[in-house]
Amino acid sequence: MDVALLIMIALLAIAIIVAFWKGRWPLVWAGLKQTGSTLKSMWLRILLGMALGGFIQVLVPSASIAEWLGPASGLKGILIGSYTGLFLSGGPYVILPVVASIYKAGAGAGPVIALLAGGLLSVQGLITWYVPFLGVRLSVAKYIICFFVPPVVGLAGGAVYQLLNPG
Amino acid sequence: MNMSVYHLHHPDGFDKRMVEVVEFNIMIKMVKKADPTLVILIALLSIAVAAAFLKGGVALTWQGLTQTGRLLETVWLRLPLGFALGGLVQVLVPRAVIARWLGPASGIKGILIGSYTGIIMAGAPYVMLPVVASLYLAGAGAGPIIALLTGQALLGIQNLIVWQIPFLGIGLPLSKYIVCLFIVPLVGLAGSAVYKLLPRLPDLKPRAESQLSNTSQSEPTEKR
Repeated sequence: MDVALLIMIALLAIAIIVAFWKGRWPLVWAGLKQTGSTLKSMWLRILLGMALGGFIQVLVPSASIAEWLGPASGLKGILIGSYTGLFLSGGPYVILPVVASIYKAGAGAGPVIALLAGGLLSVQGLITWYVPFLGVRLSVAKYIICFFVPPVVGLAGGAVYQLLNPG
Repeated sequence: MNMSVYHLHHPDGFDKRMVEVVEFNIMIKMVKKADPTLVILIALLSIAVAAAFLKGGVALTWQGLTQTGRLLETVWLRLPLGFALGGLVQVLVPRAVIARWLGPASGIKGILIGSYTGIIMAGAPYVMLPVVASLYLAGAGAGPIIALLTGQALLGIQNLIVWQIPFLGIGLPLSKYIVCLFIVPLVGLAGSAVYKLLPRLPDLKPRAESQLSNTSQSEPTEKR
């Protein structure tokens, strides 16, 4: 049984009930319309991102991924994951297929969590979005700290994963 | 466009080079108009396909497509569900409410509010950053703003549900999430300290205002 799918169905059902309770069918319909417009703008990117993930899986041999990012790669794997993630560009439609492919190819929990955290904090948005909207000072202060965050999240996240999934 | 049509009908009496120049200009205009993210994705995918073909011919290219199919098989149902949930969250949590929670607060309380407001803050950068910038200009301190931005990236519930769980299952995203619940406020605190060390860098706020917000982090002031 796919637990992830079950949780998502339950959450969606709750959201629909709350929307119905708050604004009846017009609000439920507004939510679905929002869904449609997001899907319309994203479907091609998602497909391309998945294709990229698929190709990375066949291009980078599993042995290399296991060596660089495998469960036995230790701190080295977490650092490689962190800084690969920070410089990984693209939205979630690129980052998640790539991270999932690397995980399926044999990477360890710590390095994958570090890669994911790095990807979410990617420096890509610094010049395009942060500096124009928030100025240099605040953006630079944020990114200096965020440079150290993925390895910490990878180390601690790997430990939490072990606790949640013993053996 | 007309020129290339003319070229098709009158190939002998027309300057081919001029047609090529016009067609090239049209192509450049199309690329400029196109979505840059899509262009980058197409370029990256083309490189990956070319690399697979060079490395292992049609067989490896086909293997890449097969892997794509497997990934698609895992997520095809989870993704639309996630999008539906994201759409409903956007209509259920008004941005004005987020602004009210974070606006004038500062200090540790502001950092905590900023960190955990990031959980429900959703949207593309061009939607989210104008809201964050207006909060910053309205008097929010650097620490809460940095915590909000980091919280939105690491704790955003929409990203967790729409993207992370469909692709990675429950275990890894949940482990990352538990750790980030504690890390994000620390990022806000540390970010605020680093911000104070960078007074020479250009700031969105006028200098006097940013110094004021530095020195009186615990005293919310009406600046605008």
